[in-house]
Amino acid sequence: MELTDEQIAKNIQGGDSALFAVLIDRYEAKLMRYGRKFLREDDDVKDAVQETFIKTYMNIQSFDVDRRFSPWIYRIAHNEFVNALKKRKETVSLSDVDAIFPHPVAKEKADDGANSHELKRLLETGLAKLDAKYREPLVLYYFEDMDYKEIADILHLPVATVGVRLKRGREALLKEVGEKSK
Amino acid sequence: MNEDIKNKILAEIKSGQLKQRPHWYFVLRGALIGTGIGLVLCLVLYLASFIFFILRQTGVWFVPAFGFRGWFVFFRSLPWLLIGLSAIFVIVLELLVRRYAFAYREPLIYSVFGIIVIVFAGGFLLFETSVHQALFGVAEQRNLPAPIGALYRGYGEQHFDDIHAGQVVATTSDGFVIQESYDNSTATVVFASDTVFSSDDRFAPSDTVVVFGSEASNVIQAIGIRRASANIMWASVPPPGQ
Repeated sequence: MELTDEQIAKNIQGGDSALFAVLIDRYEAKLMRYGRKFLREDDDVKDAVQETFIKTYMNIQSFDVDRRFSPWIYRIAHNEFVNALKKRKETVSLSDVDAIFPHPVAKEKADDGANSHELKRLLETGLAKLDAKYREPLVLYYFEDMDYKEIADILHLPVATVGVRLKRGREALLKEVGEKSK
Repeated sequence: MNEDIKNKILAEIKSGQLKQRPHWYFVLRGALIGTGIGLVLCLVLYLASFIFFILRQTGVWFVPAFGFRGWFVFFRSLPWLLIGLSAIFVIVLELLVRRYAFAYREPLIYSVFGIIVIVFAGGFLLFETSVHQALFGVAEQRNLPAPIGALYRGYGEQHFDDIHAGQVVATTSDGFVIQESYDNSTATVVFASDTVFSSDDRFAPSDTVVVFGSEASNVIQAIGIRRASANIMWASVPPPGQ
C-alpha cells in the first residue's frame, strides 16, 4: 500500500531521509505549476521551488503528522514566492481590509464542479491580469483542489476572507475575459 | 520532472550539507514565542491596572458622573502616554498571536477585540488587588527603585485643576472643608443648587470624597461630589509648613 504524505513525513522525521525523494516526486510539478502563476521567469520559479524543498527538509521536525502535509508545504512555497517577488521589487499586495472585518462564509457550491472546468479554462488565459491577492486563492482552489480552510492555513487569512477573495477574483476574471472578448 | 532539483537536494542530504533542524529547536522556538506572549501580556495587564489605579488615585475616575464637563475633564486628564504604550503592546501581542491558527482563521477585529477584553478584564482584576496601593505607599516613602518609584510618584501624585480628592475635616452651613490628599492643604467646598451628589449631601468629618469644581482663593464651587474609598488618600505627604 502506498504511504501517505504524512506517513512519509513521519518516517523522514524518524531518520529515513531517502523517502524525501518521494515527496519531491509528488510535489515538484505541483509547486512549479503554482509558482508559474506568480513568477514570470522560469528560473525564478525553479529557484523558489528548490528553496521550498530545502526549507521543507530543514523544518520537517516541526511538521505535526496529525495534520495534512499538503497545506504545510504550500505555506512554505507561498512564503518563498512572496520573497521572490519582493526580491524582484514587484508589488505584493496580499493584505487588505477583507482580513479585518467579518464576512459571511460563502459555502462551496454543489455546482462548483461543473463550473470549475470552465473557470479553469478562463483562469489559464486571464489569471496574469488579476491582482495577486485574488490570483493565489483562485489557483489553490481551482488548480490545487484545496478547500477554504486549507487555503486559509496557507495564506494565514480568515476562512471568510478566502471566500470573499474567491468571489471577487471570479468576478474580476469574468470581467477581464468579458472585456477582452468585446 | 526536473531531475536537477531532486538530485541536487538528495545529494546535499546524502553529503550532510542539508540537515534537519532538531526537534528541540522548534520546541525551544515555540517556548520562546510563548514566553514572549506571556511577558507582553503581563506587561500590558500591569499597565492597564496601573492606569485604572492612577485614574482612581487622582480622582479622574469619578468625574464622568458629572455630565458633559466631567467627560471633558476625564478625557483631558487621561494618561495618554501610558494608553499609547498599552496600545503598542496590544499590537505586538496581536502580531505574536497572529501566527497561530486560532487567530489568523478569524477576522483581525475578533482577535484584537479579544485581546482588548482580556487586557481590560485582567487589568481591572489586578487593579482590584492591593498591589498598586502597596507599591504607591513604598514609592511615597522613596523606598522603591528609581524608575518604578518615579512612575508611581509622577502619575499617582498628579493633581488636576478641577478635581479635588481628600477628606472632609469640618462641615459648614453650605458645604464642608476638605483636606486635599495631594498636598494636605485645606479648601472650603461650597454647594450650589445644581451641585450633583453621587449619594446624599450629608457629609461628616473623615469622609473621603472627590469634589469636581474650580477652585479660587481656597474656595471650591462644587459641580459634583462623590464619596470614595479611603485608600485614595496618600500616606506620607507631610502637612503644610513641614
